[in-house]
Amino acid sequence: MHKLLRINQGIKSNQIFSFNKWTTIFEYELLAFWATKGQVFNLLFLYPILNLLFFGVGISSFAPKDVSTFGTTNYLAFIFPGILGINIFRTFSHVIYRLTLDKRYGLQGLKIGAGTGILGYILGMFIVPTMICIIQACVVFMILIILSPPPLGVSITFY
Amino acid sequence: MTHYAITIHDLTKIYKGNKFVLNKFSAHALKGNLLGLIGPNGAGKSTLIHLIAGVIRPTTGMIQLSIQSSEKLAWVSQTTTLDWYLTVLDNVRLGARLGGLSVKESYHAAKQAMEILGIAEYSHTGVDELSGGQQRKVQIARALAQQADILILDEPTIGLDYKSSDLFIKFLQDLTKQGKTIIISSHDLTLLEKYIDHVWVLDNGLLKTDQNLSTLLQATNHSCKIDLVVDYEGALDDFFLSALQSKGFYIYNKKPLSVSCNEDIDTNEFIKSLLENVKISSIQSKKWISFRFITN
Repeated sequence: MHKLLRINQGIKSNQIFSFNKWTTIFEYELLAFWATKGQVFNLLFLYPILNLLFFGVGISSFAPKDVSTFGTTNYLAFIFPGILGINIFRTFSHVIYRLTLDKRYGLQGLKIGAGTGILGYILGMFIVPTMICIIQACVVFMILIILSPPPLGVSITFY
Repeated sequence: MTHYAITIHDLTKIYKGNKFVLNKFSAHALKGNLLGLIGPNGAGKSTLIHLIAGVIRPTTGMIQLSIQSSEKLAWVSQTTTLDWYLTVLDNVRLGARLGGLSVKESYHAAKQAMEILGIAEYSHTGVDELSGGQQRKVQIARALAQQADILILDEPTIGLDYKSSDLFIKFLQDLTKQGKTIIISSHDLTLLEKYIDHVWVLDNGLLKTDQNLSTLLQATNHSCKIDLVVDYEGALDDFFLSALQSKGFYIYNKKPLSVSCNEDIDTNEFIKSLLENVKISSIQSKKWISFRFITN
């Protein structure tokens, strides 16, 4: 049975969130991410490792050998949040690019207008980069553990 | 009882700078109708389509759609609306997924839509590798895959060859027989005239005509035009051609002779005078609606 659907506010008045549509947006972001296979490897492994090597191992060679310079934290642990920050910034820049493309080419209106809702759309767009950031963090963390002085991992303390 | 798929009441859209794009537009679209939306550039056709699709917000007024949910409305934008990262299949499948189909069903719906549009062979090709016309077909296929009850198409035949356009509009006409309501905006009046049931004529944001096509054709007889394409042997001199122009014929091409004139001009006399000069191999004629009645 059809009902009357009233539209008088544009896409902003439509449903805020739809689980089914949210999964569609997520599925398409995953497809778009996978479509650039080279980037999958770069984003997940290469960039975090390069950042870590450059900022961690490379620059640390200029740092004083006395660990007390960094309080109770060793240099690699000290730069961990910074490395994560760089990776998060890079990953989310890509989302901003995808959002801009969607808006520029009218896909945003199509997706939200079909009942995804603004919240569903935004969540769908951000879930993939969030997953990427988590994997990056794990990769960086594991490398830090390997590179940190023994006992492994114990020296990583955050303030 | 009359069933309206779309009811629009006093719809007004004003953009920045107090420019009226649509001014108190009120109309109904009957369920199962193929409705042609025509008008010159800047008449407000695309704005109306965006408003019905719910992409932009009206300044005042209301639109009522007789559908279960917003996913039952599909639209094709005038501009290229594709995800450039994805293949043709995934782009088409997006329509089906947004239409509420499962992943498995979406593959089936997408393949069907691609076969209708003749792009099935490009399934795994990136959309950036296709020609403009093929990209247009991908957009249309995506809207078809959505399996919506209301389809709104903003100049869908741009970039399509005549045969594809004709087949596509005929297919849309078949869809209306299944109860779907379709609004199609186009400048290709010859094509629209063959298939549409109803016409909305917009000019400068105002609804000039809201009529059944056959009623409109009767009411605007004076504004119909006739195209004649004459294939002939021999040569026509410039004197004859300029005489034709002075009688109200617009000449598009000299060989084959392609002319257009108002319906009230006697074309028999034209053919007689032509026979005096050359040997005619074939004549094709086609009547079409002129934009002239919009401004009259």
